[in-house]
This record gives sequence, structure tokens and C-alpha cells, in this order.
Amino acid sequence: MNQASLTIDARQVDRRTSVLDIRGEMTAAGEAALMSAYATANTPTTRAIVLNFSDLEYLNSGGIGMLVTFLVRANRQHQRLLAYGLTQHYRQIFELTRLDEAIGIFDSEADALAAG
Amino acid sequence: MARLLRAKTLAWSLPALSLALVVVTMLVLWLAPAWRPGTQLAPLLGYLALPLAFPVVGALVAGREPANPVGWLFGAIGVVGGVQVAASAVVLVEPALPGRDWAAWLTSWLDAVALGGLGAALLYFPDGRLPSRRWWAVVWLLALAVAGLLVAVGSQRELVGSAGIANPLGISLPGGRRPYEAVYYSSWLLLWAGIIAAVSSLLTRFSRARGERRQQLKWLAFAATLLGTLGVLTIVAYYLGVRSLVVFAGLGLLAIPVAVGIAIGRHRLYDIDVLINRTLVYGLLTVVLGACYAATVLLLGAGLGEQVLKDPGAASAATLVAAIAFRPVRRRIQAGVDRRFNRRKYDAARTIEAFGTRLRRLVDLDALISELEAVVDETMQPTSSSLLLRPLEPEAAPGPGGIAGDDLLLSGVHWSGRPVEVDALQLDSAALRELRAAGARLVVPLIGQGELVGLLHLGPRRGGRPYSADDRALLGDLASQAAPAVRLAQLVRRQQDEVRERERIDHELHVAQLIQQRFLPPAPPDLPGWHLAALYRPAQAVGGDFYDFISLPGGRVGIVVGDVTDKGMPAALVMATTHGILRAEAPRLVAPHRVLERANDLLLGETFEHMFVTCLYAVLDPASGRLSFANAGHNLPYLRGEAGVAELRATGMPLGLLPGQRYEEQFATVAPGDDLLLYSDGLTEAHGPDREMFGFPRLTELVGGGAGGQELIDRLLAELAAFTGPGWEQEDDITLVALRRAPAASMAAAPAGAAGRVLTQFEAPSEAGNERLVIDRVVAAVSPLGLPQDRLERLGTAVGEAARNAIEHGNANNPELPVAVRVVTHEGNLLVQVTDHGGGRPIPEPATPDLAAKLAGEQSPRGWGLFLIQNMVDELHTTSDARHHTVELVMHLDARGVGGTHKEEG
Repeated sequence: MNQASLTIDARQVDRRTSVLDIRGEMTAAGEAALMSAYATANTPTTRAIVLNFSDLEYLNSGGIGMLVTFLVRANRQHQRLLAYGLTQHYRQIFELTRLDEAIGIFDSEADALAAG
Repeated sequence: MARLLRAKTLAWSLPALSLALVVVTMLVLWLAPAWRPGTQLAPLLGYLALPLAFPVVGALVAGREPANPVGWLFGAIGVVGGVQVAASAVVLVEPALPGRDWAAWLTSWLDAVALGGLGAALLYFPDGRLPSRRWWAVVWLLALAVAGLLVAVGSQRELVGSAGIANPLGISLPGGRRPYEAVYYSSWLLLWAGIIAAVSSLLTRFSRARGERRQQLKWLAFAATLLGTLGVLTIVAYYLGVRSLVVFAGLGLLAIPVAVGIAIGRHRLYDIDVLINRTLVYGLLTVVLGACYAATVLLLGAGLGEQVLKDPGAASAATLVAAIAFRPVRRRIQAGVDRRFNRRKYDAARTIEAFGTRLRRLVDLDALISELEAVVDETMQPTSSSLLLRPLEPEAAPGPGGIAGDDLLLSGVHWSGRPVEVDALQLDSAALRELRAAGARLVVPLIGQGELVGLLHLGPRRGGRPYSADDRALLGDLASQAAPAVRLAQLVRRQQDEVRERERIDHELHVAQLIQQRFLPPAPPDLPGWHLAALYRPAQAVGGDFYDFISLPGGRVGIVVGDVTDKGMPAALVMATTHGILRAEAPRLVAPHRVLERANDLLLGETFEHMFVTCLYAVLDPASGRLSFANAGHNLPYLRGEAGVAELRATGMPLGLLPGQRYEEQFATVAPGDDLLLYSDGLTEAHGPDREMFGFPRLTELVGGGAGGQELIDRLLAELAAFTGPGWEQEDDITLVALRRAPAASMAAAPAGAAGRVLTQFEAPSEAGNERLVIDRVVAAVSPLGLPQDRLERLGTAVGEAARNAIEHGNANNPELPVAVRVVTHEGNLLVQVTDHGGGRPIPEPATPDLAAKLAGEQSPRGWGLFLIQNMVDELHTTSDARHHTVELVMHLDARGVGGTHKEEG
């Protein structure tokens, strides 16, 4: 396939919080898209990044690896990662990989922003 | 040389002269109108021996040994004899020829000269030297006696032996006849004394002589004895009125020059023993039979009166008695003479006779040969002797002792049938040249039932003495007795060899059988949902069949059926080797064609020449019924399914023939209720009583009959028994491996069409992201199963991970290499098999990913793939061979055939 299968839009909710709207397939191939979105979202005041998985079509181990890398980078910036919109299946995968312990999982953007 | 030539000429002029005189004598007698009354020709004819035989022998001896006076003396005796007969003839003829009185005068004393010469010759015999200087006296004595007789007889008025003819030199002395008679008788006395002395010197020398000299003297002694005996008989006959017998006395005289000739010429010197023997035997035989004849006639006459004697019947009866008595009497006399006079021959004959009786018990070839050689050694005393045997099978080695079958020596001695002197053979024969070179003197053929069994050859005698006619006759007897025994012993030996060979083979077969059985699996593996049965029935001679079940990763089973060409121990060893190779390589390589390729290369160095292995190797996945197989020249397996019986074809050469062989890998699926049969040619190539073969059509029909597993094997055996009939001896090993997959009906709860079926099977090119394609197709394929959504998603994730691994790692994103995907349901399981071309290296066992470690930078952030798969499906199997590896995802379906609740992972 191609990189175009993943698009990520970054939007700044406030000084402290940015949201990445993830659409398509979250695989290793999408690393560039993720990093460029993060570059947009990241400001010196940003303390939380909220990942919107509502339009996630597919997440594989490569995507998980990418998330881990992203998580490490965010942690270095003392930023928290939050997520919402995960299907039951991917929630289970987050639980399985214990990503849910490092990324706060929420049912909705409001919940995530409230926690953020 | 010139001297010798002159001597020869002179020597041969003497017999020429004698012959001329004899011719003259004949002419005179022939042309004479009449003979003097009372003339008897017989003494004259007997006397012819003198001028004819003596000078010839004399010339032969003098020609060779001019210094030997014996030759010249014999020549002189011949000439004297010639003059004597010529003069006698002149005296006999009427009317009187001129000079008859002179002829008569010569005849009156010449015989004394001949006699004196003979006496001297005896003294000089055989080497021309007197026994010692003292013997000169005897020579002088003889000369004096001859001179005395010449004077006495030559000057007497009345001529001796010619009554009525006046001595032309006769003179009358004052004392009347008395002085003549005094000289005459004393001279005769001296002459005989000299001759007796000569004869006694001969006898003395004979008793002391050894070897050749003895033989020479023996000849002369024999001739002298013959002459004496005949002389006595002649005289007796003469006085009995049978005057014509005088001729025999003359012939007896002939014996002297013949004997001297042989003795000095050394030709057939040693046959004297046989001659004496025969003369004694036949002489005594004549006497005995004559006595028999006379006794019969006399007895008949006494019993039946005088008339009978005139009846020709009496003579006939007497002749008959003599004839009947001839053979037994001759045998007894022969034995008696041999015992008394020829101890050596007698002993040899006894030895050979004893050997003949022992022969019947000698059936061991080696013992027989050594006994035979011992007997030859004892009786003949050769320096060497050897028996060359002709092998029983002429094609094995043509002649005895490696002699070429067409060598003329063989046909030559076979044809002669008797012992032959090597020197007497004139054949263009390599074997003969070899025998000569080896110093063989005598070749004795052993002929049994007209067939040449062997050749006995003897070197020269230890004493140097040649082999006599007697020896040859004894050896001939020995050979004719030994030949059938030797042939019999050869046959016995061959039989013993065959028995030993059979025992050896039996033992080898037994060991081979043990080896073979050791490598056969004790029982087929127990596979749920399958019924496996196997049969191995060895032929009497162990063949090289084998079968095996090898457990492989992922619950798969390797099934081997093979056949080693050849039989016995070599086949068993190759079978064991093949077994070992397959056992070692199958779990590692898995793919059947890879396993056979490897086995072929490994076996090449291990098999014996002209030996190879046919082998069918199949890998069964019991869960799916998927069968991959490869064939190294073995019989094609049969698969019976709904559509009927199909042969499973895959091409490949037998193992162990050629290096670098490639084998085709083929696939098939054994569906529920299907039967698979693997077998060896011992079944299909079994022959019926009419030589018809069991054959493939029959087997196909039987496989199609619906029986499976053990039932199919029993059925096949029953049909085979019916086909071959009773008393059939199994020709080759029979191996049968039958597999039946339990029919679908046994999976009672499974919805029809869902279980045990390939849901989909496809390939995807190895391009990044194509795992989505794979997921979609798998998900679509399993949709009829009605999996719950979460299970479906889990499956999707797992399949996606497997496919991604296959594309990225297995096939290295090479779009040329496809990822093969197969989705199967089987016995309550959903199987997804994803195969790539990344074989030949093991799949690394990934470390269990630990997020904390990853976040701390202690682990790569990646490496979640297998972890995900393991947690998404119920079972994960991975297998690999040299080319591929396969990941198999298993998801248990619940009792209703759909995916149940997922396992909670700890």
C-alpha cells in the first residue's frame, strides 16, 4: 500500500493540550506522518498529546512500535499521551501490550481533555 | 671326427660284407639243381642270425664307440658267420662246385672262431673294458683254444661235419687220429672253459652292478638264459626227432646281439624287467597249460578208452580246458612271479589295490588327493608329483590347474587314455611346455566315465631310474581307479560348499531380518481423527522394504515407504542407513522433496554398486489432511476420495543413483472419509499360478472398494491369497501403509460444509502493506463460520502480523516471492497457514516484549509481532524447511463450530 493510508491532523486545543486525529492504518510506514504531526502539535507549553483513534482502521505491531517510540519521545518532553476512540479490539491490544498503563485511555475527547 | 667317420665306414662295411655273403648263399642254394642227400636246411637257416644280426649291432656299437671291442668283435663274428653259411651252401650243392673241399674245410672250424669271439665279447661287455687286468688270461685262453681247434680240425684228413669230403690240407701224422683228438678235445675244453669264465664274470659283475650297468647286464643275462633254454629245448627236440626246432635255437642266438645292442645303446634299457617278467609268466604259463592239456587228454584216455584219443573231440575238450584255465592261471602266475622276482612292482600293485579299496570310503576331496599323492609317492618315488583337477564347471575355469580348455595336451592325453611320457609328446601346447619346464616326466590322465577329470604329473624318479612300462601300467590302473572317486569327491565337495553357502546366506538373512525389523516402527502413531495401519511381510529371502512414521514439528507426520533393490545383508544395511538419514533429516527439512534430495546425496556414498532405494515420502498434516509428498521412483500412492481413486504423482529418480537429483513436491488433501494407501511392489508384482501379475488395475479396484486402514490391508491380503492360490511362495517383501481419515459424520456437531474444508487458498505478492489484503481475504473466507466479531478481529490482527512477517522477513519484500495463505477448518479448529520463502534459517525466538524496558530504552520499541499473534489466536505453530517457513494460526471453534470465547492469557 502506501503512506497515504495514514493521515494525522494535529490541532491545538489549548496551550497545554494538542490533539492528533489519526485516520487510516497505523503501521510502521506511518512514522513520518506521525512525526510531522507531532512537530506541529508540539509547543513548549504542550503538556499533553491526545490521540484520536476514532478513525483508526488498522493498527499492527509496527504501529505499536511507532507508538512506543512516540511515547518515549513525549516522555522526554514531560508530555503525557492520552487516547480515545479505540475500538474494543484495539483497547484489548493496548491492555495486552500494557500501553494502556502508559497512555491514558478514554472513551471520548471530552474525557481525555478533562483528564489532560 | 674324421676318425669316427672312418670307424663308422669300416664298421658298416662288415655287415655289408656279411649281407653280401648271405645273398651269395641264397643264390647258390636257389640256383643249385640238387642238394647233397640228407641235407637239413634248418640249422643253416638258424645260423643266418649270425651274419645278419651280429654285424648290424656291431656296426651300431662300433659307430658310436669305436674304442669298444664289442662292436668290432660282433662285426667279425658276423663276417665269420657269413663265410660259414656261404661255405656251408657250397658244400651242400650237387653237383659239387669247384673248391667244395676248401669250403668244407672252412665250415669245419669257423664256428669255433665265432664262439671264441663271442666269449671275448662277453668279457668286454658292455663298456669295452675287461673287468680287470687278470682277465687278459681268459682272452688268451680263448685265442689259444681257437688256434688249437684250427690246427686240430684244419689238419685232420676227415673234415668234421662234412662226411666224404677230403681235407685239402689234411696231413697224416704218425700216431693216427690220436694226436688230433688230443688237441681237438683239449681245445674245446679250453674254449668252453673260457666261455664259462666269461659268463661267470658276467654273473659276478651282474650281482654287484647297480642302476644302469645292472640293467645292461640284465639284458645280456636274459638273452643268454633264453639262448641256453632254447638250446636245451632244441637239443631235446632234436633227439626226439623234431629237428626243425633247430630254427628256434638260431633265433635264440639272435637274442644275444639284440640284447647287447639295447644294453650298449641304452634304448629301452629298463624295459628288461617287463620283458623278463612277461617271459617268465608266459613261459610258465605255456608249461602249465601244456601240462593241463596233456593231463586232460590222458585223463580222458584213461577214463574212456583209447578210442577217445583219436576222437577230435578230446583235443577240443583239452583245448577248452586250457582256454578256460588261461586267465586265472595267468593271473596267479603273474602274481607269483611278481611276488618272487619283482618285489617292488608287487608291493606297488598291493599298495594301489589297497588304495582302491580305501577309495570307496574317501569322499573328502583333500583327503583323497593327499592319499593319491602319497600312493604315487610310495609306489613310484618321484621327486615331485602333482594332481591338477579339472573344475566341475568347464566354463568356470576351462582346464585342470588353469590349463586352457583347448590346450592340445588335454585332448592328447585324454585321447591316449594312458600315462604318457612327457618327452614322447609332440604337441604344440603351452601346458606341455610348462610341464617340461617344471621337469615333469610323466603325465597320467584321470579319466572317469569318458571324461577327463584331471592330470597327474610326475617329476623324475628319486633314484634317477626312468619309468618302466610296468610303472606306467600301474599308474594307469591307479588313475582309472582314482578318477571316478575324484569326480565323486568333487561333487561331494561342491555339494558341501553349496550347503555351507546356503547356511551362510541363511545366517546372513537372519541377521538382515533382525536389522530390518529393528528399524520398523513398533506401531503406527495414534492420530486423532485418523486410522493408520501398516503391514510388513518379508519374503523368505529378506528384501529391502521398509516403512516409517516420523513425527514432525506442528503435529505433522512423515510417512515413508521404501524398497532397497537387492536382498540380504547389503540391502538391510542400506535400508538401515536410509532409515537413519530420513529420521535425521525429516524433522529438520520437513518439505518432502528436500528430504529426498538430502537423502539422495547422503546415500550416494553409502550404497553398494548397482544398489538403489525407491522411496515415497509424504508429510501429513493430520489437522488439515494436507499431504505434501515427493517420490524417488517408488510406486505411486493411491488416494481414494469422493471422486474415486487417484494416483498421487510426483517425479524423481530412486535414491543413491545419481548425485544432485531434484524431486518434485506435490500436494494433496486427504478429506474426511478418504483413504490413502502407500505400498511396495511386492504386492503388485506377485504372480498367480498362471504367471499373471497381481497388477495395478486390480489394486486400484480394491482401493476403490471402500475399505480403509487395517480393513483395507486385510482385504488386500485376502485378495492376494485368493489370487496366488495355496502354496504360494512370496516372491518379494510386501509393505502396505494405509491411512483413513475419519469421515465427517464422526464430527457430529460440525455444520456441514464448515469442517475439514479448505476455505481459501491464495498467494499474495510480497509488497509492504499487502498484509491488509491477506487479512481481508481471510476474514472474508471465514465469514461463513460466523465467528464473533472480537474473534474475527483477533484473527485479522494475527493474520496481518503473520503476513507482514512473511512479506518483510521471510520474503524480504521481494514481490517475486509470494506469500502462500491457506485457510482450513479441521475438527473444530480454524487453521490459517501462512508460508513464505524464508526457509533454511530458524525463526528467532523473540524476547517477550516489555513496555517498561522499551520505554527505558532497554529493548527495541519494536518486536511486538509474534507476541501479538500468540495472544490473538489459540495456538501458533511454526515450521520451516530449507526453502520455506510456515506459520500456522489455530483458532478453536466451539462445539457449534464457531469461535468460542477467547482464552484469557495470564
